[in-house]
Amino acid sequence: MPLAFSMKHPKIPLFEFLEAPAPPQNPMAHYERSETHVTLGIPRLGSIQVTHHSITVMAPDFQKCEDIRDRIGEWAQAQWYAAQGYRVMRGAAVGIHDTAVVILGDQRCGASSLAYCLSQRGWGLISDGLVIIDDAGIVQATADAVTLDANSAIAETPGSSRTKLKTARERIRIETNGHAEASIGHYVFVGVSRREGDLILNPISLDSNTELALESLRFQPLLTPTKSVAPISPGKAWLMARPIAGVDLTPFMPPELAAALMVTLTERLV
Amino acid sequence: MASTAWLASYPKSGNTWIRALLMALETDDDPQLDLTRFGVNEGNAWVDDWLGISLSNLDDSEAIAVERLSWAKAAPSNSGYLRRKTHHPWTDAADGFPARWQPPGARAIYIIRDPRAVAVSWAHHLGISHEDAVTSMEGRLQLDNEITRTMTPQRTTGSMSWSDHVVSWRDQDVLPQLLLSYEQLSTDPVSSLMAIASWLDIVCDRESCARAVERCSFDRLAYREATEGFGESPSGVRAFFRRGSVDSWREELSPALVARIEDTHGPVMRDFGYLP
Repeated sequence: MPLAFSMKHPKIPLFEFLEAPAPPQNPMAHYERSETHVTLGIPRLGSIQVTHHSITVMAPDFQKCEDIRDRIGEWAQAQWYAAQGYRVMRGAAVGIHDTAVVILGDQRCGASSLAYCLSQRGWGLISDGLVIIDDAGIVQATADAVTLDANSAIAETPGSSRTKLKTARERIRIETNGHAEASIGHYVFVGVSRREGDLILNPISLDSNTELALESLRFQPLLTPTKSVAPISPGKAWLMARPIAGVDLTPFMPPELAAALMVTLTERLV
Repeated sequence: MASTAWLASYPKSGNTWIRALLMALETDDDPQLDLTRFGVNEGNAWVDDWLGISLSNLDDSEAIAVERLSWAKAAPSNSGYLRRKTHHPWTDAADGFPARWQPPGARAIYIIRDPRAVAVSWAHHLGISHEDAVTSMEGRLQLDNEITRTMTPQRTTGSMSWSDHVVSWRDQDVLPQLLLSYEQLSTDPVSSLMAIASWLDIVCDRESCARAVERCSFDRLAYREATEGFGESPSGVRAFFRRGSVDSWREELSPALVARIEDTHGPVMRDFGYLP
């Protein structure tokens, strides 16, 4: 049965649920790839098949279909977009007026938290988890909610509508203010700094090194794209380092820090 | 598609040296002091880069199945094997299969080093006392750092002792394995490198191995670390390539700690000829 998911992008196909056996217990996740499809499965749970035209969730029952969709549905969407020639990167994007700011970094760097805080303060969320860019440099509007660890600081802020996901670790989706698709104005690479004090937001040139970094962040399509992959769009590039305490990386972005980042970003990027 | 070749060892046992040797051999040039070119680590970044899957959404048994897939399916290397460094012991993961299981075709090299020498080097690397290093090698001191986090076996408690680490790999019978000692490598590096290259189906001759050994001499690597820097250096002040000596522990380790190591790890040390 067709089932809408979190993506608001009109072009992506809905997830189709199909009753089918789960991949057997095996040390390795199930993987099949051909010219026409790529399938990824979690042993004893279910699998998702992506073609150029469809995303099919296969599991023994509806419950497990939801489980597998929440676990690797984002992978399937990334592969579908990549197969259409979109540039797909992990991160988040927010917009103000007609300008999009693409926030990039390693997992758990705080991109979603930052995007959420910005979306609560005059910016609008364009995407979270995946950043989808077409060949005209337009960031596709794909999300109206951010996904965070349930125990993150921001996840505990009251107010917004939230949904607990059927992921193995406790994750929630928090709805927030959205924004339409917009042209890339800025790339912000988020990192951390062990230096005490204010956050660092330094302009960097969008040169061959930066482009290499952007290229390395792109998901590699497992299906042959129907057209050439969208080029890297021009935009200002920034390196943002947020201070962390102690030696361990703080996995979550505290709200007060995100608020400070928002002020700085707004002043410098708009 | 390349198969995985694990380069496994307890920390400070020569893993990085072997990766440098292989790189020098394959390029017939000085190895770049860039770890990403020394061979691939086992981190989650591969899952993210290659598959685009967020491990945050998966539980431990699901995540390890996806990680094993990403190791097996990652991009090919120059040879038939994609070398991956690991300090993880050969233990079962949450799904009941060995954490470092790989499909048929994969193989492993396990590097063992005299634990008395490891203790001195480990203490230097972490900036801790010799006694703490010895205690951690007994599995009685949980050190929390980037290396020890990769060594924590799932479904077990506490850290793993040096003996258990060695025995876990020695006794695994899933992957064909070449067992090599740091001492062999130090004593006869050219022949050792030829054996490693042969195990990994790298075509070479004695002359090319000799050139690689020369390029990776400890003096040369230490000099380059001092002048160029090295990504795995423990801090800005302590060098990664320290002495490379086989028996400097005789001067550096107290007799009491030597006795403690020999008492704790005696059976395994005897198995490998470190004790009579």
